[in-house]
Amino acid sequence: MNEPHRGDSNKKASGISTIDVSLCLDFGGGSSPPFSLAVNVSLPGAGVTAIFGHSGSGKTSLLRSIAGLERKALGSVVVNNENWQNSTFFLPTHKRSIGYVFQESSLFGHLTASGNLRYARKRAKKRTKGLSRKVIEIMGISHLLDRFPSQLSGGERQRVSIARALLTEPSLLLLDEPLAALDISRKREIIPYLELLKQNANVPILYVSHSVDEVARLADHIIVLEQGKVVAEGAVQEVFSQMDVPFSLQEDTGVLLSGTYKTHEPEWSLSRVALSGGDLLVAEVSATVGADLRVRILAKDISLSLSAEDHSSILNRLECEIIDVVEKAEQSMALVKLQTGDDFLIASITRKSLYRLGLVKGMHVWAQIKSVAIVQ
Amino acid sequence: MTNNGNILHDSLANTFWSSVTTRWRPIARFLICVSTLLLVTVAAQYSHAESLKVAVASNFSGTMKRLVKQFEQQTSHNVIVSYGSSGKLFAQIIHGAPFDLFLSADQELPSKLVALGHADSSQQFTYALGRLVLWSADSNAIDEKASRLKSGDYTHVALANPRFAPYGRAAIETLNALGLVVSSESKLVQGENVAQAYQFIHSGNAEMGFIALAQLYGEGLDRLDKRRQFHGSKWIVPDALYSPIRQDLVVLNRGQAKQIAQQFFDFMRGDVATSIISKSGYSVSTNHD
Amino acid sequence: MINFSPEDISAIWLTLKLASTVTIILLLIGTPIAYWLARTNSKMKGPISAIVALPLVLPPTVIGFYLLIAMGPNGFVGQLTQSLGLGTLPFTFGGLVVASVFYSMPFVVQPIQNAIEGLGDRPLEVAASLGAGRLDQFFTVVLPLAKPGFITATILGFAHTVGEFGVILMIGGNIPGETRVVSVQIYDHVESLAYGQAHTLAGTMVVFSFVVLLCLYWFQSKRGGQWSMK
Repeated sequence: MNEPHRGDSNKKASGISTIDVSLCLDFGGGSSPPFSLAVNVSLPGAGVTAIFGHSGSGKTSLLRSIAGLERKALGSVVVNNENWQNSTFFLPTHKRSIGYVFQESSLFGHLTASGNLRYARKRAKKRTKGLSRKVIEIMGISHLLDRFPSQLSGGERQRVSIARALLTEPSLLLLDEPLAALDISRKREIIPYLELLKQNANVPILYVSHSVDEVARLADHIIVLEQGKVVAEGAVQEVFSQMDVPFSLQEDTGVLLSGTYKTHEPEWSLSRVALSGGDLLVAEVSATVGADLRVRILAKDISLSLSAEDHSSILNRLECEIIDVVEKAEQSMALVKLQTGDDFLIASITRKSLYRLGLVKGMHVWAQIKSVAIVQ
Repeated sequence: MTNNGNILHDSLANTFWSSVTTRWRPIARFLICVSTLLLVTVAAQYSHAESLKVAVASNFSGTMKRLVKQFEQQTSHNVIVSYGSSGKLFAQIIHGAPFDLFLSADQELPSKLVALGHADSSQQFTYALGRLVLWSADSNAIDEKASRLKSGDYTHVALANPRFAPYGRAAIETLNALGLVVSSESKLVQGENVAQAYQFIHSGNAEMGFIALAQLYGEGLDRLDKRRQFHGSKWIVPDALYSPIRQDLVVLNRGQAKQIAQQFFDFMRGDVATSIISKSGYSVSTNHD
Repeated sequence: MINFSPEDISAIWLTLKLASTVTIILLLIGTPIAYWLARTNSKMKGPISAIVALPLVLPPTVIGFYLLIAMGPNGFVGQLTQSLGLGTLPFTFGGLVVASVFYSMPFVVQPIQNAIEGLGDRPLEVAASLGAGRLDQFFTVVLPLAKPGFITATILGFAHTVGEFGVILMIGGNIPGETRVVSVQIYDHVESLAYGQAHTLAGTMVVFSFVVLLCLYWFQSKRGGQWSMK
């Protein structure tokens, strides 16, 4: 991608806003083993984009490079038509309109929570009236303002950090695994705030994560990094239903489906969610009829049956067509990709079952779904 | 048997060296050298039954070296000399430092030692009379009349601290006698001793200063001046302008039982020593009592 | 009980004046050096650190000897000061300040350098991400977070200058009110066998040093690592 230098004058000429990143970064010599990052992507200029990958895949380096924290990163960064970096120009971090939330808490210890917020607010390039109050409310930190960081819990610190990043009114919000340093209960405590953030913030967010769960809940778009290279990119639903995606091998393989809230079955404490290929019963959720829901089904939670027999405890069954089978000789498990309505499912079954049932492309089967997670 | 012994010795040595890894070998060698040196030094100290320990004022150090060389040739005895300022040596002596003899830069401290019972008055005498000189590193700065000093045409004049250094006291007496003390007061820079005053002048920081004439006869100075090729200029201050700088020596209690101490005492009064001292820039008192 | 002579009081006053001046100058020039040393990857880091640390290992007489020569009329510093119309520095208060700045440098640079190194890159990155430029980062983040290092540096720089003797002896010329500081005055008292006066002044100095170091340790244990990045 050879992005031409686009100055502010062209800002309105280009209709679609994107984040165009074309970066190379080499860590030679010092760090072992030598690592290099080579990324060339164009990301949507709105919504949440997850940068996904295992540790060491270059996620954080990519985020730091976009922020201008890696002076050795070569290439170009253009955010919503604003040029941050090219071969002849490098905008230093403090002049890039970013909000950055670091992995571990990074509040200034010599300032109170409100001192930290003021630090950001004072240096913000624009100051929308009433934003401070709104951000403090969304992050639920109004009762923490007078405390020093040492008097806050890990989750509270991260909420203040996110609020601080928002108060610079950035044109790009960068979150580097903001939950990684927290334990599970703290993570649960903070995820609702991130969902609120997603709904309320009208800035593009880049969210670095190695947790499929977080990505499924928060991201609209995803890029998958492996050894410094982009191996998959696209809408989350799409990427998650690609079986050959390298990350989709282990426990977390699964799909993300969009559904609508249909009815409520109070006597069983269940809710009915409509998908394009049929209905699913899920644990009761509080939503209004017709609301959009995001449903995550793991490959290991789907078993396949040749008939619609109804002698098991499993409630959810969907009729599907097998559209692909992936198996490897030395592995016990095989992946089967199914289509139901307009949606795709991925089932993980043993190779032995695959042959015993004689499953091949084009066959019609019933997918028995043991568990469904409503992620949104 | 001899052969066997050698083989045994060699193999032991080999085992030792091979057990010392190559990396540590230089360090091991160094340690062996150091310990050998230490042993030799200690042995040398004890091999001479009669050795003399003398405390000597720093300004006399050049002359003392020549005297010791002469004395050791004559007697084959060993003289161990410690140099320092007279005041420090005095403090060390009254706190039990193991000296047999004390060559002070003045008369006052040896007399004090006698008064305090650390020495006997019968064994005190003036071995040298210090001579004061006005010296400059600049060969044109000082003429025979020291007119530049008298006219006050300088920024700094160096001298030893008059509070306790005899040459400093003599320098102040000289300035007094010339009626210059008041005019020169703010320009006086004091070294703790004449050696430091010498340094101030030699480095050019003070245009001129009062030091001991003996310092200009020193070995070190000759070498330095030859290399840097300057000799400076000097004015030997007339004896009449300051009270005599009597440098006394005294045999301390420790040395009184030692024959060698007595020998050195006598040597210092003899013609050979007197001649060396007077050639080194001192006067020698004719009155030995 | 304590009975100082006017000369003693003048020496004490001079010493305090010298130590204060030197400490202020050292904080002003030592801080950029410490900041640079703490953050650079340059090959010059080693040599510069070594030069700064030299006074820790060199005997004061060596430093004094070379300063006397360098600042003298034939030395390179002396040539410079003369060409600027300042004359030569030995035997002047300014000369003592220059010598003390060099001599006490490691005591100021090293605590600040350690404190800044201890902060790591993160606080500066955070500040940059919030829109703070270099100077802004220094005054609003480095200075407050490394404050304990700066306080240690101030105390050590001051105390070490008060305790300085060898260098001043070599280049001071013992001029009352100009270069005769307390340590030299004590030496004079001892040399002239005025042990009583020496005791008064030396005892005062022992008490002063003890109190200063006590404050330092008390401060360090109280403040130890309180303001980290949380």
